[in-house]
Amino acid sequence: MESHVLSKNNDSTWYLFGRDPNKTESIIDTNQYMIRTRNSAFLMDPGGIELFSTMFATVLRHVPADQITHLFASHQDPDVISSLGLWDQAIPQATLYAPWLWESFLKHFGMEQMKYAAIPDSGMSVPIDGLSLELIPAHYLHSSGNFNVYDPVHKVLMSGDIGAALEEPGAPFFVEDFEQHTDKMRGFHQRWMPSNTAKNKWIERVRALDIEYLCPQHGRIFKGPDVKNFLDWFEQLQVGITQE
Amino acid sequence: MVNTIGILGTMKSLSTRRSKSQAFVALAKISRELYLATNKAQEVSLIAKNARALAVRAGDKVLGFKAITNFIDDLATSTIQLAVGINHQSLEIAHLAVESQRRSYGLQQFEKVLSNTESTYRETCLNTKLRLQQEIEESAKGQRKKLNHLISNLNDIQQEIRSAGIIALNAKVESAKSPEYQASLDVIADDILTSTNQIKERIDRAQSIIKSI
Repeated sequence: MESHVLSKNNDSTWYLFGRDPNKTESIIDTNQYMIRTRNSAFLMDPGGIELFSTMFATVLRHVPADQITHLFASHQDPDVISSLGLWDQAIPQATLYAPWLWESFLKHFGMEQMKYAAIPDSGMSVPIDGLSLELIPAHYLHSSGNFNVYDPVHKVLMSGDIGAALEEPGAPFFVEDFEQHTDKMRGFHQRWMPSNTAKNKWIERVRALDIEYLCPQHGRIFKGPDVKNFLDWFEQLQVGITQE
Repeated sequence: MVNTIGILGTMKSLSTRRSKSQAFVALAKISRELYLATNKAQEVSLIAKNARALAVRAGDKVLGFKAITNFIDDLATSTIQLAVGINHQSLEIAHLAVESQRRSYGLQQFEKVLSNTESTYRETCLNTKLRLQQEIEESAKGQRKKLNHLISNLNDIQQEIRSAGIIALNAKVESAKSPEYQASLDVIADDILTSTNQIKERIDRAQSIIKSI
């Protein structure tokens, strides 16, 4: 699994993990993210159970297991958090931040030791080593209980399935030609996102943020001007459409 | 009689994922057999109660039969209790086997992490690996102990069902002594015999499933 530094300052570093060459073809490729602070780490959408050993080994390149204090699941999908039962064994001291809506569902993945911090619908702030992360509501995009992570210091928005694209194996991590990239996103967003109202509410909320990197769980990262390009494109896109 | 030593040997080798999955599937099947055996035992109990009512009406003419039906009803009740208990035991072992499988899978994953030399901090998950190993060993001990109880209880229930079968045959002899009620008593004795044979078949299957684990 590849591991890259997305953004770094003296106090904290954003890591990006993904494009695992050993991943079986039958499972969708995912991007995982982690913020490493001086004494802690905040791991986002750590992935499916099939990915666990590779993912954990990659994470341990950068942080000892006992310093992984925060785990975040944007929503309940298996590619996001079906590895929960193993993380529960690996980092029992950590707290899982996940939507309140999914608490009793997520525990079906096995969770005996970690604490569950239920994120209210309105979102919340999470302090970690002097950094304050904002858990931003993104409900119905696509899951009915769904959140993004915003870091105002590094200006990174981890957007979960928003901005996701279905890519070929080994695709670059960053969007290079936005217009071309829209073809890889359109079908996914139209089919998976059920609500134009929810979509527009999220866009309004996110436009108020200062974002340098918009980081989806699948596909490529939007950087600089492509963040606005994405929001403009998404705003005009009609979602909740099936090809019947 | 189930070969206890053979089973223990098998249980010792349950550290592989494959044999564990076979174990909990087999235990679920045992649970099914016991559930069906319990249903049959309830039928036997009902037949015995009806027989007792008939015997009361017939009075002194079927005294021998009446004593037999009382005994069969008691046996049926005891069989039901035993079968429910064994069912509970088999589900407990199946639960432990599932947990063990999850932990074994976890152990495999942590072993992969520990073998990854690029992971600078890989040693920080060594304690997790050791804890999982210990939990798997303790679970295997617990499973062995519970499986021994289950085997012993299955033998007990089989013994009771054999007794019920013999007594049902005696009931037929007793019915012949009361020509007035013979037809009704024969039907009752046959029903009891059929049901106890069916229970015996279920218990036989449960025992052979244990052998196959």
